[in-house]
Amino acid sequence: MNARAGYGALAFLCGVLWPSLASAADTSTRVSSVSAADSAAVPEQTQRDVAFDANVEVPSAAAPASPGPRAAVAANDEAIERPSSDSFSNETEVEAEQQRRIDLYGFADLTYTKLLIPESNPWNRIYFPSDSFAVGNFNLYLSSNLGDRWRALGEVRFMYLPNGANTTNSATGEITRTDTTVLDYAGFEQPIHWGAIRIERVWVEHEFSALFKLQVGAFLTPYGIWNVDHGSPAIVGIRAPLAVVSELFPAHQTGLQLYGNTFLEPFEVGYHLTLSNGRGPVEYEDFDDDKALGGRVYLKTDAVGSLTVGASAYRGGYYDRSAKYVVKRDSVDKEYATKSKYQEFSFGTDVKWQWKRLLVQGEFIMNEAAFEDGGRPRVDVLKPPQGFQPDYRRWGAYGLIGYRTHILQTMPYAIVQYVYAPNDPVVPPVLGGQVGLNIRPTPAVVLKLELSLTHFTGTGSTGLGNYPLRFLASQVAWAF
Amino acid sequence: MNRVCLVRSGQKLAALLALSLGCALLLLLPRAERSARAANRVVLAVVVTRGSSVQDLSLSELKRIFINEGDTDPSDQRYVPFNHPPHTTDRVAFDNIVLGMSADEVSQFWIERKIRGLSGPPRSVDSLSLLLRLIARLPGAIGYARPSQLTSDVRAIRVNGKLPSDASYPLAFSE
Repeated sequence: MNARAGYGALAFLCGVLWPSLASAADTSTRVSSVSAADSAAVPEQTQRDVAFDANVEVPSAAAPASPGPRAAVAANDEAIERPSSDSFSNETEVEAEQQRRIDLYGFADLTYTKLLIPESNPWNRIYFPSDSFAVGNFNLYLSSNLGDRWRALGEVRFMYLPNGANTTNSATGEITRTDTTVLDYAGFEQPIHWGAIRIERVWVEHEFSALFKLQVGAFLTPYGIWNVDHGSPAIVGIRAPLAVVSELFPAHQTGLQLYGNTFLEPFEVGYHLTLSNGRGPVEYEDFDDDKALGGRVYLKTDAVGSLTVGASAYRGGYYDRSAKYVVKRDSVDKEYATKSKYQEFSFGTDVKWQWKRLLVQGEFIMNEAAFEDGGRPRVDVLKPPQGFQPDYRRWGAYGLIGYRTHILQTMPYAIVQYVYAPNDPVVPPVLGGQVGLNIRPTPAVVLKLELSLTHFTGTGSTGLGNYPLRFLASQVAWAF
Repeated sequence: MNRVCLVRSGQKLAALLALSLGCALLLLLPRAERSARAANRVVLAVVVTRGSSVQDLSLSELKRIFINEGDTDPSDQRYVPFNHPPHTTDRVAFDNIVLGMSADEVSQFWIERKIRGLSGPPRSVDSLSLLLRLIARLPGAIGYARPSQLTSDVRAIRVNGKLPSDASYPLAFSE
């Protein structure tokens, strides 16, 4: 019954998507025809050209002899090429642009995951969410040119969470689902679930020169490829590789970022330097003065396709503590108890090569942590004795290869990945592979279908490594 | 009887030949049209304001300017690129030659770049006269147009050391 419902849902997804695919095919054909200057598309293109030229003050030798068609098309100028948010139609707009203007854009995605494992496999009960339509990302960007080389960007993610999120009591195994149901006073007090907004990044930037740009605020850690690409329409696969989601580098940081680039033909050389609070339990508070330092350098060349090679590093401290108020002689004070404290170092390398329609990319990421005295937390275990968390070194890597065909801009791709994370005894080393299709019916819409096979090379402390994990996922991601 | 058969075979052969000739003509005519069109060599002059210190840009420098990589001119003035509206002949040709991308690839490029948090595409201008006025007035402004369309306020610069009138000028395409 479950399987039938799942396949029904997949069929529904395909049914919903097919008209979009079909119309996209038309668009794609038309656009490629235009670029090929095919005779079938010439009338429309000529209209656009004439409309664009309609306001030329200096008569052109190449201008049509008769003003009739030109005037007629000029009258329909707006219908042919409506001024978009990225275009100007008069000089006043240009002046406004020089001062201030806000761009709103973003992306969203819907994913359906179907597990392909026997009912006896415990992953059926543990993997979450499966056999469900799930809106995963709904990210909104607010970008503003503040003038005089100042620019600001904010990105927020709207989430259903924390509603439905599970928390587990490691002592009893009891799972508690978070319920955010409230009665909506704006209606007839019908129950609604509230969600949350996550600040992905918010910064202001000043460009001193191409070589020195300073960002202040919260930013995505500039390492590798996937962490910065991060938007579902921009990334090839459905989910980020495990080495990326395991946050071997912190995904976000709050502080300063200096970056820039220069060109030494045929190379582009760029760098990022970061100074931040580092990894911590609270984004806006660093519990000690130990600031984190990080950086990235990259070399890019278009000499052989587009090849980018980069290396990133990060060093910082993590400190978490509990607190309580205590009454002292003449006032109230606060006392802290360390929950976890360690120094960490991360290193990563990445390569991305695009040659014509071929894409090859890969990342290797390593992270090691050394706990300080009194900062070593207890390890969650199923069976006593409960020990302390040892120092660890974890690492992961992935490689991706894909080829964008001309058929609906479809890219068949394959990903191989491996993660070794001894800090979490629940998760044994993972060897995973994905094969999939990434289809771009239009530049702003991406359809993905991905088969994921996961093999564990150990049992893990919970024994889940004894069971393979396989699933089929489909996703629609769109930029707006 | 045989004669009748021969006549019929001849008629079939003639019909087949006529059909083949018709098909060949149908196939060849558009090609002939295209060849005639290909003869129209169009060049796009890269233009700056008349008082600009910019004299020559390589194709790769032009690419960096039009993907908003923040290049500056010799007087440390930041370039402000302006584009033609999407899907116009000159825009498609410019994107193809300078950026090495088709119209769809350009759209995808800017979507991905904006998702990464980088700056957006150069603004496109809805009319050629406004484009030329902007280039003439705004410091650092740069654009492109056909040489016959240029006004006296702007001037064409060299690309890869070549002027638009040179035979090996790189910003040329067949219309």
